[in-house]
Amino acid sequence: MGEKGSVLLMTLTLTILLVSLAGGFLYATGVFIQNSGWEETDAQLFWLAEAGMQKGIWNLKTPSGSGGQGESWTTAGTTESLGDGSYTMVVEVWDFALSANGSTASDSPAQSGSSVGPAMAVDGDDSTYWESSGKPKNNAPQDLIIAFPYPLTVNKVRFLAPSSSTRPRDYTWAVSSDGSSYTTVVTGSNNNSTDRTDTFSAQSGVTYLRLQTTEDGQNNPKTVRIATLEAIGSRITSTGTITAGGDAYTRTVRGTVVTDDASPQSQVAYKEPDWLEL
Amino acid sequence: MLVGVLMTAAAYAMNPILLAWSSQQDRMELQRGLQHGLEKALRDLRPATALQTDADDAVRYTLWESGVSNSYILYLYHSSDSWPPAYNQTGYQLRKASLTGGIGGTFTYGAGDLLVRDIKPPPDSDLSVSGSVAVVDLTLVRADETFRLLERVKRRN
Repeated sequence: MGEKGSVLLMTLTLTILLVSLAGGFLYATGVFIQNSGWEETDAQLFWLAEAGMQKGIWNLKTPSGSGGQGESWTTAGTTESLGDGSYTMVVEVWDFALSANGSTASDSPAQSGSSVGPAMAVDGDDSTYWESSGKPKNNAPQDLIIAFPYPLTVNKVRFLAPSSSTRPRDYTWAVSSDGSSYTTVVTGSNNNSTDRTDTFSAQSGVTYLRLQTTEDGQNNPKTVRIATLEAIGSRITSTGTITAGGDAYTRTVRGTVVTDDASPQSQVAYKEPDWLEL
Repeated sequence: MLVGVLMTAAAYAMNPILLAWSSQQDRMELQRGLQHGLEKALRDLRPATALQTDADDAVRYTLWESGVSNSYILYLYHSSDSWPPAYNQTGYQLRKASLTGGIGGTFTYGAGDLLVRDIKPPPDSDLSVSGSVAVVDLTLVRADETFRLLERVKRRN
């Protein structure tokens, strides 16, 4: 091999080495950039979803006259842009008393018939109902009691009676943290409505909710009936979305909240302890 | 003769490149494994209703799960150590175990799901709680590679 041949071979070898070296560094750098990009996108998605949650809460506690949507707001999907992505809020009315949401119902005195037992008031079906075991009287009240799966804040409740004659006419709503010591938050007298929603100052740490009836609609039938009993709040599901390279990446968080938009001084949101990432 | 020398030199020069590649591969695997395990832990800690630190570099927490309150512990485990750990071994595992008797309850050392391997013991790593914020500071070591990730997560419930 001549001198020229050796130089060519050395040049080729060095070129291969340099290209390998550069290729290695490019590969490693590329992977690290990709990993960093994923981490950044993942964090952005989470905080976009959280931003949607916070915006949903703000909308609920702020009346429409003040730029929000008010405490009764629901939406199947409202999307707003933020930074490099967007969030989509889904807001539903949430019934904390519903058995499907972990609550259980009982009554006192106890109703023996299972087809009209207390569970019928929280089964989400307006065609079924709880029926008291006897006629409600001042000295013989009929109680329907909800036990929530965790302590929450309550400020709005509702009952639906299947007929006017079986509606609670004189009644109280009361709350308790232990199921034995109750605080009365609403007293209803001469109620004429079969579908009644009552609001009151928010009570926190509520594990038990009691509807106590002392007088029903009339003497026939001599019972009170409740088709639906609700403790009302809102559930917000927020999805953060970033589109990159034609693909959409998402993260979704969910939580429930009890809000009050009554006046500027009392605009409050109580987040319940059920935040989760889906 | 010259070709042989050149090939040897080339092979000698390629060796550190290949080692560097291998090292990068190890670091990437380390990073992926750590991030994956850490994300599992963080997704548990965020929805916690209660957080509690443990004197032995562990985090205890409570979750509402389908209407039931369950408590867990994130802790560092090594088969040659015992509870409370002396942290005198190398290569601990981050594990998540159920607690019996609530957040202050008991568990079996070594039980639970394995989240991350090859963790350096405290003080290089740290599991702690400050108020409603949990700190998960993990340093992994595998062969000659070391990788550290620190996350602070505030509970949302």
